[in-house]
Amino acid sequence: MVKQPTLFGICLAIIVLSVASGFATLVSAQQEIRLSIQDPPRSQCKTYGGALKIGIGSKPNTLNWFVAGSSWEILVLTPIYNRLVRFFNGTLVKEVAESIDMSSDGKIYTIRIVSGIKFHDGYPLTAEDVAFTINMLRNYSWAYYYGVFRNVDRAEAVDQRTVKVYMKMVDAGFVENALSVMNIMPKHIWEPKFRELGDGVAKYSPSLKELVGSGPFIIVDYQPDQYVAYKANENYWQGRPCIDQLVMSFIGEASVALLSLEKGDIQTYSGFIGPETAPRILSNPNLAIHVYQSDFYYHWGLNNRKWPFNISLFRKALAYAVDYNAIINTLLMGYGIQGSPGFVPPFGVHAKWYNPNLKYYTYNLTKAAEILDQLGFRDVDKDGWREAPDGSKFKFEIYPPNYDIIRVRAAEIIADSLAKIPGGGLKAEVRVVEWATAWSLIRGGQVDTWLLGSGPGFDISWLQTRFHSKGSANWNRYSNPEVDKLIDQLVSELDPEKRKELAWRIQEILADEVPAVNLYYRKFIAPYRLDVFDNWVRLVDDDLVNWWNFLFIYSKTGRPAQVIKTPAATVTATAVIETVKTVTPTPTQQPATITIPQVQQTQPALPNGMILALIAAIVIVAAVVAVLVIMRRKG
Amino acid sequence: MSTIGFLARKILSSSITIFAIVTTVFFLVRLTGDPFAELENDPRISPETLATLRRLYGMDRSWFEQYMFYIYNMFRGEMGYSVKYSRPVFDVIIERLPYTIALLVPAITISNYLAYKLGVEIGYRRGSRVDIVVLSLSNFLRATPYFWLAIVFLYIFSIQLGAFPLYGAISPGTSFPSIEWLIDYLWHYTVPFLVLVVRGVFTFVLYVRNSVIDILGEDYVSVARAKGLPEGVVKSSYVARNAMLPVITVMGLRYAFIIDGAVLTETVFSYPGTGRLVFEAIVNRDFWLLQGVVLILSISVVLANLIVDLLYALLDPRVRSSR
Repeated sequence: MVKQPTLFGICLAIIVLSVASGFATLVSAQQEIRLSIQDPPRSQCKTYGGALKIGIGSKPNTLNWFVAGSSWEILVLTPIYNRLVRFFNGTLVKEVAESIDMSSDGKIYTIRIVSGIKFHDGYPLTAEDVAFTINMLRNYSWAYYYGVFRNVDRAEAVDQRTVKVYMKMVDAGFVENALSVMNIMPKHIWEPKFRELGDGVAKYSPSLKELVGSGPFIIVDYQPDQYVAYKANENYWQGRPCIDQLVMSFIGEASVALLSLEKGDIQTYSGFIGPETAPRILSNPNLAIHVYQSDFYYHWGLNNRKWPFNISLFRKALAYAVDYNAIINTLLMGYGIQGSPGFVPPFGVHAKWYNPNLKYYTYNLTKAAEILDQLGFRDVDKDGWREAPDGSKFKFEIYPPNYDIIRVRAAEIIADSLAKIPGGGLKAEVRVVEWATAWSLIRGGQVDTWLLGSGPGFDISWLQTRFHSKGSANWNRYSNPEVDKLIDQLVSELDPEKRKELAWRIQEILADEVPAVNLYYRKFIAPYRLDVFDNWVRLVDDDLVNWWNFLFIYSKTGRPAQVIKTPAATVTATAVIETVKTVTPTPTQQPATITIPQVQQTQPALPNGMILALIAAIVIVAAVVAVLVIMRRKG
Repeated sequence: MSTIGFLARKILSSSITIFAIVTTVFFLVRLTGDPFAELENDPRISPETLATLRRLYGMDRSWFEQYMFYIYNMFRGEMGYSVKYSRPVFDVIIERLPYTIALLVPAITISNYLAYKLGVEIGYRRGSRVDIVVLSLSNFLRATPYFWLAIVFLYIFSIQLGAFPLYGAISPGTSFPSIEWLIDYLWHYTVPFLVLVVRGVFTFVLYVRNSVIDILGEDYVSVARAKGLPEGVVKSSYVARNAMLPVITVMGLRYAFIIDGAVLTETVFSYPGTGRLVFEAIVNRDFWLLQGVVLILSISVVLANLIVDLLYALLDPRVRSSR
C-alpha cells in the first residue's frame, strides 16, 4: 500500500520533471541573447562657445537622408540625427539603444531605447520613430540603405521604449551593417510625406524646418554649393556639445582648403590632400596632421571568366609580378600598407575578422617566370615577350581610372614589372580612358584587368557581395563552390567564434586562389589647427570631421564656467553646466529637463578684412573710371 | 523682305536648331553610360535598389519612350528629375543660376567694354610702348592656364593682402535681404569678378586691335583724314565704329555660354553656379540634368545669335539693304 503511491509519485515526478525540462529547453530556445555593446566614450567640456568651421571636399546634393548616399551627404546630416548604435574606433557603442537582445534563432531583435530624448521641435523620440524608420527603409527599395534592411520582415513598437524587429531570414551582420548607420527619423514629419508622396519621397528635397532630428546640432542654414551651418542643441540629451556653432563649407580645391587652413578660416579639412603636402603643413607651428587608415582595398581586378585569368595559377603569377614596395613607398610615399591577400583589412572594424596567418605575396619575378613557364607561356619567337601556349601573340589591358593619378601610375608600374619577367615579359597595355566608359566595360565583363578601389562593409558578410559567385559586386566574376558554401554559412551563422573560423578559411582560399591582386590600403592625412580648439578625437579609420569631434571639441577661448560676460549667457551657462554635472555616465539616466532661454544669435561682426575689401573695391572702381575719363579726353 | 518676315524666318530656323541639338544630345548622352553605374560598386546598394531607381527615373523604358516623354515634358515646361540631386532639374538649376548671371553678365559686359576701348587705343597707336606692353601682357595672360591665374589672384588678394575671403559667395550667418548681406556678397564677389574681367579684357583686346588696324588701312579713313576732319572724329566715327562690326559677333556670343561659362572660377573660388553643374552632369551621366542644361544653353546660344544678327543690322546699313 505504501509502495504504490510512491511508485505513482515517482512516475509523476518523472513525468513532471521531463515536461518541465522540455519546457525548460523550449524556454531556453526562446531565450534572448544580449548583444555586448560598449558604453560610448564620454568627455567633459572645459569651455562652451566658439564656432567650429570645417572645410569638406565636396558638397551634398540632397539633404533627404532616405536617399543620401554619398559620404558628404551622410556626413552633413550626421550632427542632426541620433543612431541606435555607432562605431567608435572599430567597436560598436550604445547611443539611443540601451540594450539590444537577439532571440537565439536570430529571427527577432528586441531593442530597448533611452527614454526622455526629444527632437529639436520638442516631440519625444519613442520606439514609434525607430520602428517607422526601419519599416520605411525596408518597404521602399529606392532607399539608400534598403540593401542592409531587406532581410527585415517588419519592426513594431511594443511600447514607448521597446522595438521588436522581426527578420525574414537570419542576418548575422544586421546590427553592425544596418543599425549602426541608421539615423532615427522623426515619424511625425516623415510619415505624412510618405503618405502623400509615396515613391515621390525619393525625389523630395526637405526644407530646413523638416530637417529635424534629435542630434546635438540643429541645422540653421544651408546654401547649396556653399555651406551648411548648425547651432548647438542646448537641450541635447547626452549633454550639450561644447561648441556653439558648427559650419561645414564645401571647398573642392584642396590647395584652396590648405590656404584657408593656414589662414585660420577653417580648423580642419575633410577631403583629399596628397601626402606631398605634409612637410608644408608641418612647418606651420599651428598645424598638425592626423594620419588615418582607409579600409578601401585598392586591387588589380582580374576577369576570372576570361582566359587566361580563369587559371588561378596564372593569377598567382601576376600577384608575384607586382612591385608592392615601389607602389607603397615610392608612389604612395609610405602612406599605405600592402593589401591583404585575403582582402579583409587588418585594422579598424575589420581587425576581428582578419586572418593574420596569411602569407603575403612578394615581388618575385623569378617565381612568376617559373609559373608562366609551367603554364606554357614562353617566349617562343624570342622577341622578348611571352607567347600564349598555342604560340599566338599574347597581350592584355589594364584599365586604371583616369581620375586617380596614383592608380594610373600604379598600372604603369605593374606593366613595367610584367615586362621585366626573366625569360620574356608579359605584354600589358595601360589604357587610360574616361572612367564611366571603362566602368561599363568592366561591369559588362568585356575587359581583362583593371584597378579598382572597393569598400568593405562593417560586418564580415560583405564578402558575400564581392566573392560569392552570385555576389552583386563580384566584378572579378570569381566563382568557387566551396567559397560560396562557406559564405552562405558565414551570413547565417550567429556564433561569433564559428563565424571567425569561416572568415579565416575563406581568406585562406582567397589568398591561395587570387581572385584579384590586392595592392594596397591607403593612409590619408587630415590637417588640423591646434591654436583655437582642443580635445580633437583622432580615430584610426576616419578623419577629424566626425560625430565624436562635433561633441567633444571645445574652444580654447570659449567661456569657462566662471567667466561670464552677458547676463543672458549667465543663466544659460550655469544652467547647462549643472545639467552636465547631474548626468551620470549611464545613458539610461534621464537628463534633467531645464528650460533654457534661447540665446539670441548675434550676427557676426564685420570682419576686419571686409573694410579693407570695401576700400580696395572703391579704389578699383575709381581707377577704372579714371582710366575711362582719361581715354575719353585723349579721344 | 520685311523685318517681321526676317524675324519669323529666324525664329523658325532657331527652333529647328534647338530641336536638333536637344535630340542629338538626348541620344548621344545615352550612348556613353548610365547614371547609376557608380552605385553598383557600393556594397550597401542592392540590385533591387538599382532596379527601383532605374524605374523611378524612367530609365527602364526604351529610348524612344524616354524621348517622347522628354519632348512632352519640354512642351509642358518641365525638365524631369536629376538623378544625382534627387529633385527636379528646374529647382537645381534655378538655385544656382542667379549667382552665375550676377557674376558673369557684369564681368562680360565690363570686360567687353574695356577690351573695346583699350583695343581701339592700342590699335591706333600700334608699335607704341603702350601697345607693346598690352600686347605682351595679353599674350602672357592668354597663355597661362586660367585656374593658375585664379589661384595667383587668390594668393595675392586673399592671402598676402588678406583682404578677401578664400571661398564661397556669402559668409554663414548673414541673412539675405540686408545691407550687411550685400557688403558680404560684394566682398566675396570681387576677386572672382576681377579674374574674369582681367582675363576677358586681355583675351578680347587683340580682336579689337587687329580689327582697328584693318580699318585704319581702309580708303574711307584716308579720305576722312584728307577731308581734314579732326583726328578725334576720325577715330570715334570712322575707325572705332567700323572696328566694332567683326568683334561684336565674338563678344556677343560670350553671353550665350554664361550657363557653362565659369567652371574654373567656380571650382577655384568654391563659388556656387551652374558651370560646375554642367561638368558634374556630364561626369555623372545625369541625363535629365544634362538635358535641362543643354536646353537652356542651346536656347541662349540661338538667342544671342539672333540678337547679334539684329545688332549687326542696326550697326551696318549694308546688312539691312542686302537682305
